[in-house]
Amino acid sequence: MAFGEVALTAYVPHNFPHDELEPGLDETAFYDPANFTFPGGCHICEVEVDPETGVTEVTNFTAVDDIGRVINPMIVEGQVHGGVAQGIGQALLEGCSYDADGQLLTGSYMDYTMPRADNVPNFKVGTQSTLCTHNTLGVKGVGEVGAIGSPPAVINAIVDALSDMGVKDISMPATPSKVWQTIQNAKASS
Amino acid sequence: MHDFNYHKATNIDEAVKVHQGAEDGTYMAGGQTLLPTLKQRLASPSDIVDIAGVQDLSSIDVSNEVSIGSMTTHAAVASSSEVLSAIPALAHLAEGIGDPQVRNRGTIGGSVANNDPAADYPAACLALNATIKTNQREIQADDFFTGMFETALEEGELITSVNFPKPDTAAYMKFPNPASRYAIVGVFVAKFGAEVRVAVTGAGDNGVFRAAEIESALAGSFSPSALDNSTISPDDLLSDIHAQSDYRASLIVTMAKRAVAAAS
Ligand SMILES: Cc1cc2nc3c(=O)[nH]c(=O)nc-3n(C[C@H](O)[C@H](O)[C@H](O)COP(=O)(O)OP(=O)(O)OC[C@H]3O[C@@H](n4cnc5c(N)ncnc54)[C@H](O)[C@@H]3O)c2cc1C
Repeated sequence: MAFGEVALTAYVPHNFPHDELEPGLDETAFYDPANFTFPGGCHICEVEVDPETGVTEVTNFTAVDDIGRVINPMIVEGQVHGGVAQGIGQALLEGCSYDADGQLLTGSYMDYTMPRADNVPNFKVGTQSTLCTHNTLGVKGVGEVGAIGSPPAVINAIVDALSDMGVKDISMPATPSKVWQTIQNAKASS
Repeated sequence: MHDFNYHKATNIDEAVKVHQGAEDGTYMAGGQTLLPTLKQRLASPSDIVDIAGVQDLSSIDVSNEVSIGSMTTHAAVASSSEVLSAIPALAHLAEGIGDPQVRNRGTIGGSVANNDPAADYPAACLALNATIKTNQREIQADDFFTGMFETALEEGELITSVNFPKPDTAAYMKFPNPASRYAIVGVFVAKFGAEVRVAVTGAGDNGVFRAAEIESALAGSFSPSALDNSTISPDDLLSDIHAQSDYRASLIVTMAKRAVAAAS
């Protein structure tokens, strides 16, 4: 009997002895990987900070990730683009604010800043394929790699740009007003 | 949204008359501010008088001044070759308002009548010494913007055009709110002979204002370096999650310098 016939029969309860059999066909299996997969990568970010306004522009961004075997390069590249845009948003723009009474101040996109096309540069994306040894496809996964490497790369680039002033850290999101304030504080303490 | 009566006027007299006869009427231009306000039930007018179909309100006439009909969209001003050659800074300002949808619906009359403290056009009106023409009278920009969301317009008064004298040179520099892209600080600088007018939007806690310190520094020398020692007091400036008042104060000087550099 062909599998199609089995499936069709399973879903035609009309022919069943109802007191003995319920309609349907299902089976559950659970895959327990032998180990985690370990994608790794390197993200390099170049920024220009306008010291008068505190505006940070990401002028160059290169992401190379080792995600094991690449099955569909176009999907991988798109996934990394989205992830890096999200990471740049997290590093520079996105943040929830509440007032003292607990009222959300960033309740709409008029106040909550999503990254938009003009907030990001043309990305340079590359992959390296060191195959994973404990699954048959040799894949490691590309889900969040773009969003993981990018925030520290952006923040490190800003800190590097401001290091001459003695700046050692800046918290996310490094909004123009926060960068400007950081520069003022650095000037005042030097 | 609450119920209201809708009227589509075809000429100025009809629009004014319908407004007068209404219990609590309001004009509608492109609806860009009015409709969200109604949807959030922040306003509940009894009657809406749509002026989008009123003749003679959406023309641009350039003679010794630039006259822009109140129903003219931001997109029309941005792409007008006449505005571009007479007052390029004005076309540039219009091009920087909102997004393409907003620019194709929003109007100069609606923007000026609304006098949002972060809107761009009020800065152009004040710096260029514009005259706001209504169905009743002519109002100088200096007398028109009376406070946040407040104007000299009387109940039912309809703006018909905004008339801009042509400056020797002018420029507008906007520092946009990263989220909404309205102005956090927008500075419009205009030079008429020996007189320099500088208007600031986005920053004042009472709406658009002229920056006298910057005007007098620039009247002495119309160059960015004339503002090297200028400071603005943060006292009457807005503070919000995007910008504290001292940051806005600093941005005013920076944007003014950049506007002067662009204008000279
Ligand atoms: C997403 C978004 C982004 C925006 N960004 C910017 C920005 O960056 N910079 C900026 O400057 N603006 C911005 N705006 C505002 C926009 O430019 C419109 O100019 C403004 O919303 C007014 O809209 P409107 O012309 O459609 O007027 P309406 O919403 O129709 O009317 C607004 C008010 O003006 C009154 N009114 C309209 N026309 C007249 C008239 N001729 N005479 C008397 N009263 C009148 C109405 O009764 C109403 O009270 C933005 C708006 C949106 C929705």
